[in-house]
Amino acid sequence: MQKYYKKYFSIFVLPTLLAYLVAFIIPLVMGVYLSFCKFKTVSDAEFVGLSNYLFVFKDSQGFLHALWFTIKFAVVGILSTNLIAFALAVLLTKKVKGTNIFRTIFFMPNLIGGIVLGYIWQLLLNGILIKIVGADITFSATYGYWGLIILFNWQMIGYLMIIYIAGIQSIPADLFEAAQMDGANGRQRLFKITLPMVMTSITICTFLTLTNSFKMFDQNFALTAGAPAHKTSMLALDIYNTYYGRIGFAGIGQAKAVIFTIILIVFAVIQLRITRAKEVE
Amino acid sequence: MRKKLLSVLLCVMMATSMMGCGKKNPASKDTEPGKEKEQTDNLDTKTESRYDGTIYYLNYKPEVSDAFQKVAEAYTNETGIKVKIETAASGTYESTLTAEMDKKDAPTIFVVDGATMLENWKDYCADLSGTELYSYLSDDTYTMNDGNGYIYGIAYSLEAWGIIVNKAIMNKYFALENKGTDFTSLDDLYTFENLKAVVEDMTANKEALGIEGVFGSTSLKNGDNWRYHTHLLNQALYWEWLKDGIDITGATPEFKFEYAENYKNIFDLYLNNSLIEPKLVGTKTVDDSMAEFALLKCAMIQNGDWSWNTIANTSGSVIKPEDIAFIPISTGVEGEDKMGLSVGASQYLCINKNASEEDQKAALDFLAWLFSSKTGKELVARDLQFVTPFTTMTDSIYTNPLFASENEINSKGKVAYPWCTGLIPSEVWKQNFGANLLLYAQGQMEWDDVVSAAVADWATEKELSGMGE
Repeated sequence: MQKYYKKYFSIFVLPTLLAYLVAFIIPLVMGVYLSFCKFKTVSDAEFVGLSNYLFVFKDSQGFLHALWFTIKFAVVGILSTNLIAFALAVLLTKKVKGTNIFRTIFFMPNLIGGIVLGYIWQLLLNGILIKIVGADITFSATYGYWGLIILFNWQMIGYLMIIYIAGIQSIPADLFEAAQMDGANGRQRLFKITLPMVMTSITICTFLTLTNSFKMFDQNFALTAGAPAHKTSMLALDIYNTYYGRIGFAGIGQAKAVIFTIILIVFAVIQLRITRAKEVE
Repeated sequence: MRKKLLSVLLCVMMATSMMGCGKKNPASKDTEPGKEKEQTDNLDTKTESRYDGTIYYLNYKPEVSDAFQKVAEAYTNETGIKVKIETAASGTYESTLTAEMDKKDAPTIFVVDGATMLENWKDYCADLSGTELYSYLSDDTYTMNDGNGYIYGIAYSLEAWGIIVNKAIMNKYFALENKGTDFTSLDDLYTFENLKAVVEDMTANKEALGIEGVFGSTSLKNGDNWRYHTHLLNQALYWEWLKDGIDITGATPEFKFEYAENYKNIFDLYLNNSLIEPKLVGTKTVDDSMAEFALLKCAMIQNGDWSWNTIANTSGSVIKPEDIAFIPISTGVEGEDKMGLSVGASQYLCINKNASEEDQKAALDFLAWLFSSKTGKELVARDLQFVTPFTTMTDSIYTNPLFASENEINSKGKVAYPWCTGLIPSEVWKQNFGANLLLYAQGQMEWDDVVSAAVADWATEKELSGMGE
């Protein structure tokens, strides 16, 4: 049997490998190369060295602001989505009537595309804002920021909740029984058993929210489109605007994208290190 | 059991929806085959060499994307040659073109929208001087050329814009007993002073007129703000460059925004006499405002003749074609009473130089067919509704009521504002200006700051666009 696997291993891996190469490795390498180029179409690019990168940092107003805005968004977004999702998961693993219905309902927003969500939430939020403050979401970056946070929570919580539920359900019941017999109260059981045991889920969920909040584009595009005056542009939207805003600036957009990737990788590695360290066997 | 049933149901739904998608494409049922065949004979000379590729046209105008599908179908029915017409989403033409040009089957026919864009795409434009399409042109001014006979692009659609008014509501106003002005006809509204007086008096009488506001929403949502950051700016650009004697067919000139006060005049008038509060314009789209106009909630709206389709196709549209007319945009500049609408060829057809000889020829044959054959001309006039500069099209009949209004204004001897906005240095400039206009509308930015930012930005963008080359 083992021999068999070894013999045909390459044949079975090949299609996936090819797809991975075409859809991931080649674009990645090309993307990095193009960030050192001036180009209009990808096929005729001219190498210009580091000038694109220099421009990105010179043109600090756009990129650095977007970076800062994204980080602010990510911090609050990661915390709020994970806390709420975890709380819901704990609630919905208790023996309450109708857990399945609730799980489905909470999960559903995740099935709606970002652009649609953006427009729906724009309507909802504007309806409220116009009533209360007499202005719409484009009026202030604060409105836009909290609008994005609400949208992000609404969309992500259900998905994370499912992961947490799976984590909680995989904890052996005897652990809880033993703890109960030893006289541990509900709070102790939550912090001493449930939390450490679902650490793997926490790793996954924080990673997902981290990358998703950094990569967020369509929700941002539909909800605020950067208004007012690009103050609510997140990194992805800023890169998009740079790439297409002026002809000949594709290289600079590309350079921004490479920097963005590096920043995201750094953050993700740090996050994985921290949460992994807390996982228990 | 129930779950199984559900999953079966879902599977069936998926399967049918997929089938639905598949079926749509080859459909050619609406056209009457007999009628088309009659005209094939006069085409035979043009298509004697059998071409089995696909003509790929990247369309600029989202409002006619459906109409273009009919065109493609009709051409395939007549000649057997496949035509693929894709449309870029509003405001993304150049980026879509950039992406498409990278592909192996790049567009053979594409569109360039002005001098700035031509600079970027010159290398892709084949010389059209010897073509049949070129021979149809009534005048060389409808081309983009290098001055030495190399034709980069040929205009295919002349567009006009101004303020579209609802004549029925206007007449109601002119007939009001207690109105505060003496004006009685649209002809009186060719200067800003008069327009302002009438608009403000109409706002005061809006209940009597049955409207919610004189102007439709000033749509300043990012991506929907082109009516203001580009079109409305035309007057300011025109007067400034006229005064400075600048050639508007050349490269992007300097811009001092000397007529900023005039721009503010009309922009304020829009904001203050609209059916929504100025603070709420940030999420309004062009479609929103066109719908307001179509549903008779407002009496005026700034837009161009291309918007007739949007108005007519708004669901529940109650406006009558005969009630629609243009008046020019006036801003309070001396001599503007002699001016008409902003008119120009905004877009030019170009042939991709890098396409194979065969592809180029097929594409040119297609264009010649579109603007000279009976079927083609009918499609252009009835469905695409392009006013073309081609002599072959002079006998066509149009249904768009705004064209009639344009002709009427022309016949009064009014001078058209030429299209100056093609010289705006970059999309970024427009975006920034649009964003600042929104801040101004919301009361978060002073007008002087909007002006100085626009001027400073122009200089930066002009330099950067040069750098991008």
